[in-house]
Amino acid sequence: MSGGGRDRGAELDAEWDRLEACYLERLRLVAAGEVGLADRLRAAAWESVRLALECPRDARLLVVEPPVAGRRGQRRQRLLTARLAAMLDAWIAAEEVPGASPLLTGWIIATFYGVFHRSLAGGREEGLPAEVPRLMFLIVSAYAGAEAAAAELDLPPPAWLEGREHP
Amino acid sequence: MLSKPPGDSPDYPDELARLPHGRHGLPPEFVAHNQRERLVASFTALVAEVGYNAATIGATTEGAGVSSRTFYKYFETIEDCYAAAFDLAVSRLGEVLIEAYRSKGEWPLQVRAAIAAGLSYLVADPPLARLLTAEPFVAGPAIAERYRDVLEQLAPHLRRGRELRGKGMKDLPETTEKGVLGAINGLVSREVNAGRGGQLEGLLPDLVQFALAPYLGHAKARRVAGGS
Repeated sequence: MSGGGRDRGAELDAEWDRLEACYLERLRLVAAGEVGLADRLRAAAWESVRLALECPRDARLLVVEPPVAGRRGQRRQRLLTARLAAMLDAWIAAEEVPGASPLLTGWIIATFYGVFHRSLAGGREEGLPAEVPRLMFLIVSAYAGAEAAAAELDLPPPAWLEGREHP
Repeated sequence: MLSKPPGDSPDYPDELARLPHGRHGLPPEFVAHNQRERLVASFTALVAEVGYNAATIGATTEGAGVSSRTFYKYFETIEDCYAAAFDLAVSRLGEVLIEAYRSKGEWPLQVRAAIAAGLSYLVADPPLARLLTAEPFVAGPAIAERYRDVLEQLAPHLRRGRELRGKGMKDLPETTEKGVLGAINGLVSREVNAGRGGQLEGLLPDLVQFALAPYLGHAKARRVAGGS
């Protein structure tokens, strides 16, 4: 991939590196302020929504573009998934979640990805805030059961969302 | 690098056998069906080997043993061909899932049986597994819409679980079923992409637990997942 002396592939990799590093650091920072697994996951979900609302282009580059960008993009997607998985594994291990299965991390990532990909690919990022409680319900159900997860549906959104119009 | 053309392998059914050259007197409907099916089979095998982004009309027709002119008799674009392959694969998998679902009497066991049958089917047909799970996100809006349609069709069977929730329990979010089905596909897709498609059946207990937990509660979902 080159034109006019530029290596477009290397530029894309550099852009992805920057975005991934920024995104993962944002998740680490918000999760550091939380104690329980559900609280960390919820903080990560809301921070991901915040990124998507602030910079939809960047969010699409992280979530929507890689699968359709050929082998390079698919490799980047696997890398980001592996880094997210390592972060989640650490959170789960720290909590000693009694209902956790070895596939819980994969389930969490698959659930997140499905919701975010669907919204971002369709240009519907403004609908993401409404998805977070439902997303959290599915995730918490998987390891703690539906009754514990039901509480997620009643939690208020974060303060930064106030004043934004959303569906 | 390419798989053998359909019909050149003893593993392919007779209906995909390459047609004889020249005048053969075969009915036109048979010829059309044969050629179209060969293209779909070739495309499916090609996507499994090189991925959708690298799949070309030329490679598809070479694998099918037909000309590009023949390709354009049935499909306008490579995405059209994917749509046909996807529809055929969904139809076949759908039959397997419904038969398994209906083989059991109670809803939790119906769901378990369907997931088990689906995983076994994908293990037995790796190209189809890739076509259905991993590539829809790669292949463009028409395929993505078909994928969403499949979730819509399967959701009611999962939705029946809501009847098992006790009175007084909070209503489940409207998107619960599509979320569960999407996450199942995401997990399977991840395994297929990682080259672990042959071990999908090992996912059964966890997938059943995750799928049933919103409806039955954690403990009961675990029991059903474990086979009791």
